[in-house]
Amino acid sequence: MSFDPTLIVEAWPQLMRGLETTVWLFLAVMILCTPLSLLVALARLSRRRWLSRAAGTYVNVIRALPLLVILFFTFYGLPSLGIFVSPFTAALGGMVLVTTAYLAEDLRAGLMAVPRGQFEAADALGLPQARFVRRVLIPQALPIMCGPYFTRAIVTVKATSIASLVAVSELTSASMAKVTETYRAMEYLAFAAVAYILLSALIAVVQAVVQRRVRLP
Amino acid sequence: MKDTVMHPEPATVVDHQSKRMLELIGLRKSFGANQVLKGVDLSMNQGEVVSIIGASGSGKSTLLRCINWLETPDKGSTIMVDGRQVGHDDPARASRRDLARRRTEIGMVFQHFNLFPNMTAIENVMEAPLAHGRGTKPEIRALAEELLARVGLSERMTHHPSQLSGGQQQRVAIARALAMKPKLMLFDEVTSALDPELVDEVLKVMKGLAEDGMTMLFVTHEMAFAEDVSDRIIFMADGAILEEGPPSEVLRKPRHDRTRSFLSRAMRGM
Ligand SMILES: Nc1ncnc2c1ncn2[C@@H]1O[C@H](COP(=O)(O)OP(=O)(O)OP(=O)(O)O)[C@@H](O)[C@H]1O
Ligand SMILES: [Mg+2]
Repeated sequence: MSFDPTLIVEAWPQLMRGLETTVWLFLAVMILCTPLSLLVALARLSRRRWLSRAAGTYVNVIRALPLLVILFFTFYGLPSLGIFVSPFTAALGGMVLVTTAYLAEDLRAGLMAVPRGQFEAADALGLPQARFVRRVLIPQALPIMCGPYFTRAIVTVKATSIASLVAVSELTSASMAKVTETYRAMEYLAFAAVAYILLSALIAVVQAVVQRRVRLP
Repeated sequence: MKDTVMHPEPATVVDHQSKRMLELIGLRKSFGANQVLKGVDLSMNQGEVVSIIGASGSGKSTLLRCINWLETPDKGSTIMVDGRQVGHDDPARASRRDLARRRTEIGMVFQHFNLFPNMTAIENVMEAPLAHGRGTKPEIRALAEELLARVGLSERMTHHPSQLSGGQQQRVAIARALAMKPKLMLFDEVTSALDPELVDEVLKVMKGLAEDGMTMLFVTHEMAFAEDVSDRIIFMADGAILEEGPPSEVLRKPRHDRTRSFLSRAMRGM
Protein backbone atom coordinates (compact mmCIF):
# COMPACT_ATOMS: atom_id res chain seq x y z
CA MET A 1 0.00 0.00 0.00
CA SER A 2 1.33 3.37 -0.90
CA PHE A 3 -0.17 6.82 -0.64
CA ASP A 4 0.57 8.87 -3.73
CA PRO A 5 -0.29 12.53 -3.20
CA THR A 6 0.53 13.37 -6.83
CA LEU A 7 -2.70 11.63 -7.78
CA ILE A 8 -4.60 14.33 -5.92
CA VAL A 9 -2.61 17.05 -7.62
CA GLU A 10 -3.38 15.55 -11.04
CA ALA A 11 -7.10 15.32 -10.28
CA TRP A 12 -7.16 18.73 -8.58
CA PRO A 13 -9.43 20.57 -11.07
CA GLN A 14 -12.05 17.82 -11.02
CA LEU A 15 -11.94 17.46 -7.26
CA MET A 16 -12.19 21.21 -6.78
CA ARG A 17 -15.18 21.39 -9.08
CA GLY A 18 -16.82 18.75 -6.92
CA LEU A 19 -15.95 20.70 -3.78
CA GLU A 20 -17.31 23.84 -5.36
CA THR A 21 -20.61 22.15 -6.15
CA THR A 22 -20.80 20.90 -2.56
CA VAL A 23 -20.26 24.41 -1.24
CA TRP A 24 -22.89 25.90 -3.55
CA LEU A 25 -25.40 23.22 -2.76
CA PHE A 26 -24.79 23.67 0.95
CA LEU A 27 -25.03 27.46 0.80
CA ALA A 28 -28.19 27.37 -1.30
CA VAL A 29 -29.80 24.92 1.12
CA MET A 30 -28.94 27.04 4.16
CA ILE A 31 -29.94 30.32 2.56
CA LEU A 32 -33.34 28.93 1.62
CA CYS A 33 -33.89 26.90 4.78
CA THR A 34 -33.07 29.58 7.30
CA PRO A 35 -36.05 31.87 6.65
CA LEU A 36 -38.33 28.96 5.74
CA SER A 37 -37.59 27.05 8.91
CA LEU A 38 -38.10 30.16 11.01
CA LEU A 39 -41.52 30.56 9.44
CA VAL A 40 -42.36 26.90 10.05
CA ALA A 41 -41.17 27.19 13.67
CA LEU A 42 -43.32 30.29 14.22
CA ALA A 43 -46.24 28.57 12.53
CA ARG A 44 -45.91 25.60 14.87
CA LEU A 45 -46.12 27.98 17.83
CA SER A 46 -48.99 29.95 16.36
CA ARG A 47 -52.24 30.27 18.24
CA ARG A 48 -54.04 29.54 14.99
CA ARG A 49 -54.79 25.87 15.24
CA TRP A 50 -54.85 25.09 11.53
CA LEU A 51 -51.52 26.76 11.01
CA SER A 52 -49.70 24.96 13.81
CA ARG A 53 -51.28 21.68 12.72
CA ALA A 54 -50.20 22.14 9.12
CA ALA A 55 -46.66 22.99 10.17
CA GLY A 56 -46.56 20.06 12.59
CA THR A 57 -47.77 17.64 9.96
CA TYR A 58 -45.16 18.83 7.49
CA VAL A 59 -42.37 18.44 10.03
CA ASN A 60 -43.48 15.01 11.18
CA VAL A 61 -44.00 13.56 7.73
CA ILE A 62 -40.74 14.85 6.31
CA ARG A 63 -38.80 13.86 9.40
CA ALA A 64 -40.02 10.29 9.01
CA LEU A 65 -38.60 9.89 5.49
CA PRO A 66 -34.99 9.08 4.63
CA LEU A 67 -33.26 11.93 2.82
CA LEU A 68 -32.33 9.58 0.02
CA VAL A 69 -35.95 8.60 -0.57
CA ILE A 70 -36.92 12.26 -0.81
CA LEU A 71 -34.08 12.96 -3.25
CA PHE A 72 -35.26 10.02 -5.38
CA PHE A 73 -38.70 11.60 -5.34
CA THR A 74 -37.47 14.96 -6.57
CA PHE A 75 -35.01 13.38 -9.04
CA TYR A 76 -37.12 10.60 -10.55
CA GLY A 77 -40.57 11.62 -9.39
CA LEU A 78 -40.77 15.19 -10.69
CA PRO A 79 -39.90 14.27 -14.31
CA SER A 80 -42.64 11.63 -14.25
CA LEU A 81 -45.01 14.49 -13.41
CA GLY A 82 -43.69 16.39 -16.38
CA ILE A 83 -41.49 18.71 -14.32
CA PHE A 84 -37.94 18.68 -15.62
CA VAL A 85 -35.19 20.19 -13.51
CA SER A 86 -31.44 19.75 -13.36
CA PRO A 87 -30.03 17.19 -10.92
CA PHE A 88 -28.65 20.07 -8.85
CA THR A 89 -32.08 21.68 -8.59
CA ALA A 90 -33.72 18.35 -7.78
CA ALA A 91 -31.20 17.70 -5.03
CA LEU A 92 -31.54 21.27 -3.75
CA GLY A 93 -35.32 20.99 -3.63
CA GLY A 94 -35.23 17.71 -1.74
CA MET A 95 -32.63 18.91 0.72
CA VAL A 96 -34.49 22.16 1.39
CA LEU A 97 -37.65 20.16 2.08
CA VAL A 98 -35.85 17.97 4.60
CA THR A 99 -33.51 20.47 6.22
CA THR A 100 -36.33 22.98 6.74
CA ALA A 101 -38.20 20.39 8.79
CA TYR A 102 -35.24 19.59 11.04
CA LEU A 103 -34.12 23.17 11.35
CA ALA A 104 -37.64 24.30 12.22
CA GLU A 105 -37.55 21.98 15.21
CA ASP A 106 -34.16 23.33 16.27
CA LEU A 107 -35.36 26.92 16.00
CA ARG A 108 -38.66 26.17 17.71
CA ALA A 109 -36.77 24.93 20.75
CA GLY A 110 -34.95 28.28 20.81
CA LEU A 111 -38.17 30.24 20.55
CA MET A 112 -39.76 28.21 23.31
CA ALA A 113 -36.82 28.88 25.61
CA VAL A 114 -37.71 32.58 25.75
CA PRO A 115 -39.40 33.08 29.12
CA ARG A 116 -43.17 33.40 29.31
CA GLY A 117 -42.78 36.72 31.08
CA GLN A 118 -41.52 38.23 27.84
CA PHE A 119 -44.68 37.26 26.02
CA GLU A 120 -46.78 38.62 28.87
CA ALA A 121 -44.90 41.92 29.04
CA ALA A 122 -45.36 42.37 25.30
CA ASP A 123 -49.04 41.49 25.53
CA ALA A 124 -49.55 43.87 28.42
CA LEU A 125 -47.98 46.66 26.37
CA GLY A 126 -50.19 45.80 23.42
CA LEU A 127 -47.21 45.17 21.15
CA PRO A 128 -48.36 43.90 17.77
CA GLN A 129 -47.35 40.30 17.26
CA ALA A 130 -45.05 40.87 14.30
CA ARG A 131 -43.17 43.53 16.17
CA PHE A 132 -42.87 41.31 19.23
CA VAL A 133 -41.42 38.53 17.09
CA ARG A 134 -38.93 40.83 15.40
CA ARG A 135 -37.88 42.99 18.32
CA VAL A 136 -38.18 40.73 21.35
CA LEU A 137 -38.62 37.06 20.52
CA ILE A 138 -36.02 36.50 17.81
CA PRO A 139 -33.25 38.60 19.37
CA GLN A 140 -33.63 36.61 22.57
CA ALA A 141 -33.94 33.26 20.85
CA LEU A 142 -30.90 33.79 18.61
CA PRO A 143 -28.23 33.06 21.24
CA ILE A 144 -30.09 29.87 22.17
CA MET A 145 -30.62 28.86 18.54
CA CYS A 146 -27.00 29.32 17.54
CA GLY A 147 -25.60 26.00 18.72
CA PRO A 148 -28.33 23.79 17.21
CA TYR A 149 -28.39 25.90 14.04
CA PHE A 150 -24.73 25.45 13.27
CA THR A 151 -24.81 21.80 14.26
CA ARG A 152 -27.58 21.43 11.69
CA ALA A 153 -25.40 23.29 9.18
CA ILE A 154 -22.61 20.76 9.72
CA VAL A 155 -25.04 17.87 9.34
CA THR A 156 -26.26 19.49 6.14
CA VAL A 157 -22.83 19.98 4.63
CA LYS A 158 -22.22 16.25 5.04
CA ALA A 159 -25.70 15.36 3.83
CA THR A 160 -24.93 17.02 0.49
CA SER A 161 -22.91 13.86 -0.25
CA ILE A 162 -26.19 12.03 -0.75
CA ALA A 163 -26.79 14.21 -3.81
CA SER A 164 -24.06 12.11 -5.43
CA LEU A 165 -26.68 9.37 -5.75
CA VAL A 166 -28.90 11.58 -7.90
CA ALA A 167 -26.26 12.54 -10.46
CA VAL A 168 -24.92 15.70 -8.82
CA SER A 169 -21.15 15.87 -9.24
CA GLU A 170 -20.35 17.18 -5.82
CA LEU A 171 -17.35 16.38 -3.67
CA THR A 172 -18.14 12.74 -2.86
CA SER A 173 -19.22 12.02 -6.38
CA ALA A 174 -16.11 13.61 -7.93
CA SER A 175 -13.87 11.69 -5.55
CA MET A 176 -15.64 8.40 -6.22
CA ALA A 177 -15.42 9.00 -9.96
CA LYS A 178 -11.65 9.10 -9.61
CA VAL A 179 -11.68 6.01 -7.39
CA THR A 180 -13.52 3.93 -9.98
CA GLU A 181 -11.42 5.38 -12.76
CA THR A 182 -8.03 4.68 -11.16
CA TYR A 183 -8.80 1.90 -8.63
CA ARG A 184 -7.00 4.02 -6.03
CA ALA A 185 -9.24 4.79 -3.08
CA MET A 186 -7.15 6.31 -0.29
CA GLU A 187 -5.92 9.42 -2.05
CA TYR A 188 -9.27 10.68 -3.30
CA LEU A 189 -11.17 9.71 -0.20
CA ALA A 190 -8.52 11.43 1.91
CA PHE A 191 -9.06 14.56 -0.16
CA ALA A 192 -12.80 14.36 0.36
CA ALA A 193 -12.41 13.72 4.08
CA VAL A 194 -10.05 16.65 4.56
CA ALA A 195 -12.37 18.90 2.56
CA TYR A 196 -15.39 17.96 4.69
CA ILE A 197 -13.39 18.52 7.85
CA LEU A 198 -12.27 21.94 6.64
CA LEU A 199 -15.83 22.89 5.74
CA SER A 200 -17.02 21.88 9.20
CA ALA A 201 -14.18 23.79 10.77
CA LEU A 202 -15.13 26.84 8.76
CA ILE A 203 -18.72 26.54 9.93
CA ALA A 204 -17.48 26.30 13.52
CA VAL A 205 -15.49 29.51 13.02
CA VAL A 206 -18.55 31.29 11.66
CA GLN A 207 -20.52 29.97 14.62
CA ALA A 208 -18.04 31.43 17.08
CA VAL A 209 -18.24 34.83 15.38
CA VAL A 210 -22.02 34.83 15.18
CA GLN A 211 -22.41 33.59 18.74
CA ARG A 212 -20.38 36.50 20.00
CA ARG A 213 -22.51 38.95 18.03
CA VAL A 214 -25.93 37.71 19.11
CA ARG A 215 -25.07 37.29 22.78
CA LEU A 216 -27.43 39.19 25.08
CA PRO A 217 -25.77 42.07 26.90
CA MET B 1 -27.15 62.60 42.79
CA LYS B 2 -27.69 59.26 41.21
CA ASP B 3 -30.71 57.04 41.45
CA THR B 4 -32.80 59.12 43.74
CA VAL B 5 -36.49 59.24 43.22
CA MET B 6 -37.54 62.66 42.11
CA HIS B 7 -40.89 63.71 43.37
CA PRO B 8 -42.72 65.54 40.67
CA GLU B 9 -45.36 68.08 41.59
CA PRO B 10 -46.87 67.84 45.05
CA ALA B 11 -50.23 66.16 45.29
CA THR B 12 -52.54 68.53 43.54
CA VAL B 13 -54.68 66.27 41.44
CA VAL B 14 -56.75 64.67 44.16
CA ASP B 15 -59.97 66.05 42.83
CA HIS B 16 -62.73 63.62 43.52
CA GLN B 17 -64.51 63.64 40.25
CA SER B 18 -66.22 60.30 40.31
CA LYS B 19 -65.34 59.10 36.85
CA ARG B 20 -65.42 55.31 36.72
CA MET B 21 -62.03 54.07 35.60
CA LEU B 22 -62.52 50.38 36.26
CA GLU B 23 -65.59 48.27 36.63
CA LEU B 24 -65.67 44.52 36.99
CA ILE B 25 -69.04 42.85 36.83
CA GLY B 26 -69.36 39.18 37.70
CA LEU B 27 -65.77 38.37 36.84
CA ARG B 28 -65.27 34.65 36.77
CA LYS B 29 -62.23 32.64 35.81
CA SER B 30 -61.75 28.90 35.79
CA PHE B 31 -58.71 26.82 35.02
CA GLY B 32 -60.33 23.61 33.89
CA ALA B 33 -62.67 22.55 36.68
CA ASN B 34 -60.98 24.84 39.18
CA GLN B 35 -62.92 28.07 39.55
CA VAL B 36 -60.39 30.60 40.73
CA LEU B 37 -62.53 33.75 40.54
CA LYS B 38 -66.09 33.30 41.66
CA GLY B 39 -67.86 36.37 40.40
CA VAL B 40 -65.91 39.43 41.45
CA ASP B 41 -67.57 42.86 41.32
CA LEU B 42 -65.33 45.83 41.74
CA SER B 43 -65.30 49.42 40.68
CA MET B 44 -62.68 52.11 40.95
CA ASN B 45 -62.95 55.82 40.35
CA GLN B 46 -60.34 57.88 38.60
CA GLY B 47 -57.39 58.58 40.86
CA GLU B 48 -58.33 55.91 43.34
CA VAL B 49 -55.69 53.64 44.82
CA VAL B 50 -56.82 50.18 45.80
CA SER B 51 -54.78 47.36 47.34
CA ILE B 52 -55.69 43.72 47.16
CA ILE B 53 -54.50 41.48 49.95
CA GLY B 54 -55.23 37.87 50.67
CA ALA B 55 -53.70 34.46 51.15
CA SER B 56 -51.62 32.75 48.50
CA GLY B 57 -53.85 31.12 45.94
CA SER B 58 -56.86 33.32 46.70
CA GLY B 59 -56.87 34.61 43.11
CA LYS B 60 -55.26 38.05 43.44
CA SER B 61 -52.92 37.69 40.47
CA THR B 62 -55.60 36.05 38.38
CA LEU B 63 -57.90 39.00 39.07
CA LEU B 64 -55.29 41.49 37.90
CA ARG B 65 -54.40 39.40 34.88
CA CYS B 66 -58.02 39.13 33.81
CA ILE B 67 -58.37 42.90 33.73
CA ASN B 68 -55.99 43.19 30.77
CA TRP B 69 -56.91 39.75 29.47
CA LEU B 70 -53.53 38.14 30.09
CA GLU B 71 -55.90 35.48 31.36
CA THR B 72 -59.08 35.11 29.38
CA PRO B 73 -62.06 35.59 31.71
CA ASP B 74 -64.89 33.09 31.63
CA LYS B 75 -67.80 33.77 29.37
CA GLY B 76 -70.22 36.30 30.82
CA SER B 77 -67.64 38.35 32.72
CA THR B 78 -67.59 42.06 32.04
CA ILE B 79 -64.55 44.29 32.36
CA MET B 80 -64.93 48.00 31.76
CA VAL B 81 -62.02 50.41 31.64
CA ASP B 82 -62.82 54.09 31.30
CA GLY B 83 -66.40 53.26 30.44
CA ARG B 84 -65.66 50.87 27.59
CA GLN B 85 -65.59 47.12 27.68
CA VAL B 86 -62.24 45.36 27.40
CA GLY B 87 -62.50 42.21 25.30
CA HIS B 88 -65.93 40.69 24.99
CA ASP B 89 -68.50 38.90 27.16
CA ASP B 90 -67.88 35.97 24.87
CA PRO B 91 -64.11 35.37 24.76
CA ALA B 92 -64.41 33.65 21.39
CA ARG B 93 -65.45 36.99 19.94
CA ALA B 94 -62.66 39.12 21.40
CA SER B 95 -60.37 40.41 18.69
CA ARG B 96 -56.65 40.34 19.27
CA ARG B 97 -56.10 43.67 17.61
CA ASP B 98 -58.78 45.37 19.67
CA LEU B 99 -57.34 43.82 22.84
CA ALA B 100 -53.87 45.08 21.98
CA ARG B 101 -55.26 48.59 21.63
CA ARG B 102 -57.18 48.43 24.91
CA ARG B 103 -54.17 47.04 26.73
CA THR B 104 -52.28 50.24 26.03
CA GLU B 105 -54.75 51.93 28.39
CA ILE B 106 -53.81 49.52 31.16
CA GLY B 107 -50.26 49.57 32.47
CA MET B 108 -49.02 46.44 34.19
CA VAL B 109 -45.97 45.88 36.32
CA PHE B 110 -44.90 42.35 37.16
CA GLN B 111 -43.24 40.71 40.11
CA HIS B 112 -40.27 39.67 37.98
CA PHE B 113 -40.04 42.94 35.98
CA ASN B 114 -40.09 41.17 32.61
CA LEU B 115 -37.96 43.83 30.97
CA PHE B 116 -36.71 43.02 27.49
CA PRO B 117 -33.09 42.00 28.18
CA ASN B 118 -31.98 42.68 24.61
CA MET B 119 -32.83 46.36 24.94
CA THR B 120 -31.42 49.18 27.06
CA ALA B 121 -33.52 50.84 29.72
CA ILE B 122 -34.59 53.65 27.43
CA GLU B 123 -35.27 51.27 24.54
CA ASN B 124 -37.53 49.28 26.85
CA VAL B 125 -39.47 52.43 27.67
CA MET B 126 -39.64 53.57 24.04
CA GLU B 127 -40.72 50.24 22.58
CA ALA B 128 -44.48 50.40 23.07
CA PRO B 129 -44.95 54.07 22.06
CA LEU B 130 -42.83 53.41 18.97
CA ALA B 131 -44.87 50.34 18.12
CA HIS B 132 -48.09 52.30 18.43
CA GLY B 133 -46.82 55.33 16.55
CA ARG B 134 -47.29 57.66 19.50
CA GLY B 135 -45.17 60.39 17.97
CA THR B 136 -41.83 60.82 16.28
CA LYS B 137 -38.78 59.03 17.56
CA PRO B 138 -37.29 62.20 19.12
CA GLU B 139 -40.59 62.93 20.86
CA ILE B 140 -40.79 59.42 22.20
CA ARG B 141 -37.17 59.57 23.30
CA ALA B 142 -37.88 62.79 25.17
CA LEU B 143 -40.88 61.19 26.85
CA ALA B 144 -38.81 58.14 27.83
CA GLU B 145 -36.05 60.36 29.25
CA GLU B 146 -38.62 62.26 31.27
CA LEU B 147 -40.13 59.05 32.63
CA LEU B 148 -36.77 57.56 33.50
CA ALA B 149 -35.86 60.79 35.28
CA ARG B 150 -39.12 60.57 37.16
CA VAL B 151 -38.22 57.11 38.48
CA GLY B 152 -34.73 58.34 39.31
CA LEU B 153 -32.83 56.59 36.54
CA SER B 154 -31.47 59.40 34.40
CA GLU B 155 -28.00 57.99 34.86
CA ARG B 156 -28.92 54.50 33.78
CA MET B 157 -30.76 55.05 30.53
CA THR B 158 -28.37 53.17 28.29
CA HIS B 159 -27.81 50.28 30.67
CA HIS B 160 -29.21 46.90 29.87
CA PRO B 161 -31.46 45.17 32.42
CA SER B 162 -28.64 42.77 33.33
CA GLN B 163 -26.57 45.77 34.40
CA LEU B 164 -29.26 47.08 36.74
CA SER B 165 -30.24 46.10 40.27
CA GLY B 166 -33.65 44.59 40.86
CA GLY B 167 -34.98 47.87 42.21
CA GLN B 168 -33.69 49.75 39.19
CA GLN B 169 -35.15 47.18 36.83
CA GLN B 170 -38.51 47.45 38.48
CA ARG B 171 -38.43 51.23 38.18
CA VAL B 172 -37.63 50.90 34.47
CA ALA B 173 -40.61 48.54 34.21
CA ILE B 174 -42.83 51.17 35.83
CA ALA B 175 -41.54 53.81 33.40
CA ARG B 176 -42.15 51.40 30.52
CA ALA B 177 -45.76 50.91 31.59
CA LEU B 178 -46.24 54.66 32.03
CA ALA B 179 -44.93 55.37 28.55
CA MET B 180 -48.28 54.44 27.02
CA LYS B 181 -49.97 56.99 29.29
CA PRO B 182 -52.27 54.37 30.76
CA LYS B 183 -55.53 55.23 32.47
CA LEU B 184 -55.07 52.49 35.01
CA MET B 185 -52.01 50.82 36.46
CA LEU B 186 -51.88 47.27 37.77
CA PHE B 187 -49.07 46.13 40.07
CA ASP B 188 -48.71 42.49 41.03
CA GLU B 189 -46.43 42.09 44.03
CA VAL B 190 -43.85 44.28 42.39
CA THR B 191 -41.51 44.29 45.37
CA SER B 192 -41.71 40.62 46.29
CA ALA B 193 -38.70 39.61 44.22
CA LEU B 194 -36.52 42.43 45.53
CA ASP B 195 -33.87 42.42 48.20
CA PRO B 196 -35.31 44.18 51.26
CA GLU B 197 -33.04 47.19 50.90
CA LEU B 198 -34.34 47.80 47.34
CA VAL B 199 -38.02 47.74 48.21
CA ASP B 200 -38.33 51.35 49.36
CA GLU B 201 -37.05 52.95 46.17
CA VAL B 202 -39.80 51.19 44.22
CA LEU B 203 -42.52 51.94 46.77
CA LYS B 204 -41.50 55.59 46.70
CA VAL B 205 -42.06 55.73 42.95
CA MET B 206 -45.46 54.12 43.36
CA LYS B 207 -46.39 56.53 46.09
CA GLY B 208 -45.39 59.42 43.85
CA LEU B 209 -47.64 58.06 41.14
CA ALA B 210 -50.52 57.72 43.56
CA GLU B 211 -50.04 61.31 44.67
CA ASP B 212 -50.09 62.38 41.04
CA GLY B 213 -53.58 61.02 40.72
CA MET B 214 -52.88 57.78 38.85
CA THR B 215 -55.61 55.17 39.21
CA MET B 216 -53.80 52.19 40.72
CA LEU B 217 -54.76 48.68 41.64
CA PHE B 218 -52.15 46.61 43.32
CA VAL B 219 -51.58 43.30 44.95
CA THR B 220 -49.13 43.57 47.77
CA HIS B 221 -47.78 41.97 50.87
CA GLU B 222 -46.41 45.29 52.07
CA MET B 223 -49.12 46.05 54.61
CA ALA B 224 -47.60 49.30 55.88
CA PHE B 225 -47.37 50.61 52.33
CA ALA B 226 -50.91 49.51 51.53
CA GLU B 227 -52.16 51.30 54.61
CA ASP B 228 -50.18 54.41 53.72
CA VAL B 229 -51.23 54.91 50.09
CA SER B 230 -54.52 53.08 49.60
CA ASP B 231 -57.92 54.68 49.55
CA ARG B 232 -59.38 51.24 49.85
CA ILE B 233 -58.22 47.74 50.73
CA ILE B 234 -59.74 44.57 49.40
CA PHE B 235 -59.33 41.27 51.16
CA MET B 236 -59.75 38.30 48.88
CA ALA B 237 -60.42 34.74 49.94
CA ASP B 238 -61.14 31.75 47.70
CA GLY B 239 -61.66 33.78 44.57
CA ALA B 240 -64.07 36.31 46.02
CA ILE B 241 -63.90 39.65 47.79
CA LEU B 242 -64.57 38.91 51.43
CA GLU B 243 -64.11 42.37 52.82
CA GLU B 244 -63.35 45.84 51.53
CA GLY B 245 -63.11 49.33 52.89
CA PRO B 246 -60.67 52.04 53.93
CA PRO B 247 -57.38 50.80 55.40
CA SER B 248 -58.35 52.03 58.84
CA GLU B 249 -61.22 49.56 58.83
CA VAL B 250 -59.98 46.55 56.91
CA LEU B 251 -56.49 46.52 58.40
CA ARG B 252 -57.28 47.80 61.87
CA LYS B 253 -60.84 46.63 62.53
CA PRO B 254 -61.45 43.66 60.25
CA ARG B 255 -64.97 42.27 60.37
CA HIS B 256 -64.23 38.70 59.33
CA ASP B 257 -62.28 36.08 61.19
CA ARG B 258 -60.43 35.10 58.05
CA THR B 259 -59.29 38.66 57.47
CA ARG B 260 -58.21 38.86 61.09
CA SER B 261 -56.19 35.67 61.01
CA PHE B 262 -54.63 36.60 57.67
CA LEU B 263 -53.67 40.01 59.04
CA SER B 264 -52.30 38.64 62.27
CA ARG B 265 -49.86 36.66 60.17
CA ALA B 266 -49.17 39.33 57.57
CA MET B 267 -48.81 42.28 59.91
CA ARG B 268 -46.51 40.57 62.34
CA GLY B 269 -43.84 43.10 63.22
CA MET B 270 -45.77 46.10 61.96
N1 LIG C 1 -52.32 29.27 34.53
C1 LIG C 1 -52.94 28.58 35.50
N2 LIG C 1 -53.36 27.33 35.29
C2 LIG C 1 -54.00 26.64 36.26
N3 LIG C 1 -54.24 27.11 37.49
C3 LIG C 1 -53.83 28.36 37.77
C4 LIG C 1 -53.15 29.16 36.79
N4 LIG C 1 -52.86 30.35 37.35
C5 LIG C 1 -53.33 30.29 38.61
N5 LIG C 1 -53.91 29.11 38.86
C6 LIG C 1 -54.55 28.72 40.14
O1 LIG C 1 -55.44 29.73 40.50
C7 LIG C 1 -55.43 29.93 41.89
C8 LIG C 1 -55.20 31.39 42.18
O2 LIG C 1 -53.90 31.74 41.74
P1 LIG C 1 -53.34 33.20 41.84
O3 LIG C 1 -51.99 33.18 41.25
O4 LIG C 1 -54.32 34.16 41.27
O5 LIG C 1 -53.25 33.41 43.39
P2 LIG C 1 -52.62 34.61 44.20
O6 LIG C 1 -53.66 35.08 45.14
O7 LIG C 1 -52.02 35.59 43.29
O8 LIG C 1 -51.50 33.88 45.04
P3 LIG C 1 -50.03 34.37 45.45
O9 LIG C 1 -50.19 35.24 46.67
O10 LIG C 1 -49.31 33.11 45.78
O11 LIG C 1 -49.44 35.09 44.29
C9 LIG C 1 -54.36 29.02 42.45
O12 LIG C 1 -55.00 27.88 42.98
C10 LIG C 1 -53.55 28.64 41.26
O13 LIG C 1 -53.04 27.35 41.39
MG1 LIG D 1 -50.04 36.20 42.82
